[in-house]
Amino acid sequence: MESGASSAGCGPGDLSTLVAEIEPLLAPFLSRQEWCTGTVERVAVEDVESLSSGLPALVALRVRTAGVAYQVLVGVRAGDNGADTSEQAFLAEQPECIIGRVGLPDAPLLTYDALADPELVGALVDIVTGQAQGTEHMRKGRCTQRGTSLLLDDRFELRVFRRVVDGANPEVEMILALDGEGFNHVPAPVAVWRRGGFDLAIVLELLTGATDGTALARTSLRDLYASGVAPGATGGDFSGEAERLGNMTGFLHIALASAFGTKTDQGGAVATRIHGDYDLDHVSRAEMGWFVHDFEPRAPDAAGDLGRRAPVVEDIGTMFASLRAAARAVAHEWSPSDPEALAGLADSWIERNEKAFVDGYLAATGVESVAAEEAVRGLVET
Amino acid sequence: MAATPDVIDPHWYRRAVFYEVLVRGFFDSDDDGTGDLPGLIAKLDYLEWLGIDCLWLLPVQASPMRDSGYDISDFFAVQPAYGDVDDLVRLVDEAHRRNIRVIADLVINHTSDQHSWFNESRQDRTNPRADWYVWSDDDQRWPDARIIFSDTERSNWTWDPQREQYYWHRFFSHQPDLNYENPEVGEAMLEVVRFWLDKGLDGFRLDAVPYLYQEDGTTCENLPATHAYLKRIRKEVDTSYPGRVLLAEANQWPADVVDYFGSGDECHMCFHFPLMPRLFMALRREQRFPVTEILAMTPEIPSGCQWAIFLRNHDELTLEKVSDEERDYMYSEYAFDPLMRRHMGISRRLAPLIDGDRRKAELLYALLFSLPGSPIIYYGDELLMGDNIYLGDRDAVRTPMQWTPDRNAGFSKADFAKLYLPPLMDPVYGYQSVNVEAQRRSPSSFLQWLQRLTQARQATPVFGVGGVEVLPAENPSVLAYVRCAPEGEPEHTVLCVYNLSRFAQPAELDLSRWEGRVPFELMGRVPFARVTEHMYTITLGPHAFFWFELVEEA
Repeated sequence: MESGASSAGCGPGDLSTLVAEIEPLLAPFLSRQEWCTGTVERVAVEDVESLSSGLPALVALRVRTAGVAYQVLVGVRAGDNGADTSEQAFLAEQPECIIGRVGLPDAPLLTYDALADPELVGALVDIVTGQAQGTEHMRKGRCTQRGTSLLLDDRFELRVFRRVVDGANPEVEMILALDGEGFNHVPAPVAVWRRGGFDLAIVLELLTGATDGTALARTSLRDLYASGVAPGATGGDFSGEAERLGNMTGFLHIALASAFGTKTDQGGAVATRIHGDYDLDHVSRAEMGWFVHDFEPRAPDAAGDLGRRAPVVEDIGTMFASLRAAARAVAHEWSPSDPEALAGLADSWIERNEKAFVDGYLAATGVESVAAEEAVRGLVET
Repeated sequence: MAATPDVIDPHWYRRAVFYEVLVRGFFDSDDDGTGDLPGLIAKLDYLEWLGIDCLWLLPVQASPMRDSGYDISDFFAVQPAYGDVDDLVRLVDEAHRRNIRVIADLVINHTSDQHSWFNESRQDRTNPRADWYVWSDDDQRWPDARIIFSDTERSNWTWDPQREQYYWHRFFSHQPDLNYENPEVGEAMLEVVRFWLDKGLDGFRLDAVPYLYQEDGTTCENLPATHAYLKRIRKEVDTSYPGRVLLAEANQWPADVVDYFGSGDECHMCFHFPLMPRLFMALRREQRFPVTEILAMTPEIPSGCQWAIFLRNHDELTLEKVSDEERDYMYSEYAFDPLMRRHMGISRRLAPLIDGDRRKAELLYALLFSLPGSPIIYYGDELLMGDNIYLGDRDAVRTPMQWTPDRNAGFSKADFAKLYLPPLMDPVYGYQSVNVEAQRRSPSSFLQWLQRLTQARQATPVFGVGGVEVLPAENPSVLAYVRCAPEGEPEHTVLCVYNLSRFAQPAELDLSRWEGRVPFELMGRVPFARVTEHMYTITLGPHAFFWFELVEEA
């Protein structure tokens, strides 16, 4: 246990007693969580810190199992199960969040995942941002294998990293660097919560009215397959969006190269930090254009991939792969018995939008310093 | 002087539904083939039934009609074919009796070259009106002022052989600009304003306001002196004619247009031009971003002010004025879209623009009636009338109002050949199928539906005076927003949800702020499931919409 851990003001009494009681409950708890892979057998608490006084209490744990470190934010309330009082009603609907009962028989305490508790999430946001935000309402955003996203009052997004790595979190690093470059197509960072060498959470300004890139592409594809005419003649034409997305991507790469520097290999190809898992799911269309909302790799073990240096065309390639995948997926939904009948339309949609993306990309001022025009144009599937 | 209805409501224009009417095309009372003011009076009962609050008359002042009446030759007379000043007073009286107000176009930037002021001014350089227009020895001054009608005019200067000087004109060369640097001109125009307000008009739509003044080194648009003069007109209105309204036509980006509200001391209303093409584009793309983007780019306006919004009007569907920024959304969308490009530069009515699709028409009107601003219906669009693009210029959308399936659409008893324009006779939009008589008889007609929508809007003042907040929705085909009563007024919240797609769509909305309330659908007062802390799911049919009042139940 780190010496920085404090027991002062902790509601449930002595922290080490709490840890001792909770440690055996963590393996089954972790096994139930979608952000934790596989069945967990043994969990060791590496670090504990009390973040509040009184009840409900907020206790931060860092635990390790099978070599992987997790952050577990524990909520503690009086009582012994999730449904017996109205103030614990939030647990009744999500029993998987309950860690278990601790404390003395005459003073039982219930421990649970603090991110299920709107009151404690409000307290956490205040801790991370260093000021009282007066959060009134919280809504669950995406939950991925790396972390959980909570949307607060349509104002902030709190991303709490469940799985934590030593040193800077590559996603945090990317967002801060891009913001520092003046690239304003990432959600603006408000505060980063960093303790003991770990990035634990980030608060971002919420992208209002956003929808993810896949949903928008699918809207266009449904219109295409229903109309049965060339994609340029359909109302749901995506090429204007594709061009703007390409343009934003060009500026993203320029900003990454400026923040992290470039390396030119012997063949003349320029490598820099790239997004690494760039596709329609990682971008959002918001009111004022396209944003990269997410830098998290899809595969949980791809942490090393993030922050990788590579030629920027790799990002364009993965984006194009996701355009193609969307075209095929909607074709399967539209015509399950014979999706191949739509292949011609799908191909022309793909080509039109890849070309528009490339036009937008190459129109980003200065993009020639990170990517050669012929290499970018060569990615278009014709 | 005519009585003004309801004088105690100084903000009537914020709740009003406007109706833009072409006197020439509405109803012909004297069988000469041209609509007139007595004809319009004869049809006021229809407009009262439709439920509109204010008429906007396209220019009615005397004019050689080389620019549809925007070339005025006598500010104090009515175009003889329409009637005379007494007819106008009678129209205002009869309208007021039905609780309908009347505003009219007023062109203050320029006159016709046949106006007596110009005839006098061009005589020589010393006559009493020599400086009432903008004269110059060369045509080089103010090179940064764009040429607005660039397909017909080569320069903003035209040589006058009589005076042997060039005169300045921002529009057609037969429309010389008045010289507002001369204080006599400003005074003369104030006299025009007073003349018509004394006759009982409830206000003006001020045509082409950004161009009143010129200044070296500028584009000669939106200059401070221009704003100062408009404030002077406003002051006159506030002092002597409270309750009358000034509606500015400034075809500019919203950030520039807001200047015409001043700090609530300039124009009461301004047109919101960029919204209209974006409504069509949102429907075409089946996603909300064209609309939410322009809402986000629209600045707050001073209290007491209001946007005027419309689906179609008497003008062409233009691109360059609604989208002067190269990087703007609409610019790139139009560039890629052959259909929208085909519509550019010609006049279209609402129905042909949406292939006569009734569902799309209902969706667009529901948007128009619920977005921030006062809606304007263009005459005939309440029937989903068509257009005749072969008439060219702007006449395509100025064909006679279709009253009945009888001869000349019931518009006139004149010989067909004498009509100012032929009525539509095509099998889809022609008067034999599309007309007021038939649609008033059919309870399921578009006209009847729009009449009910108008009632619903008028029963819901928050549409006129409330704030707007777009709600997040993951589904891009869903547009949802709430209209809320302004601070200080009794709480009233209306939720509007639209499906912009031709396929059924689910809308998942976070309404937890209104937990416990019951959404009542406004057209039928049907209660929907109570709002909880969870996501609220609404199923929307193709191009369907709902207006819900969020009611707090005891």
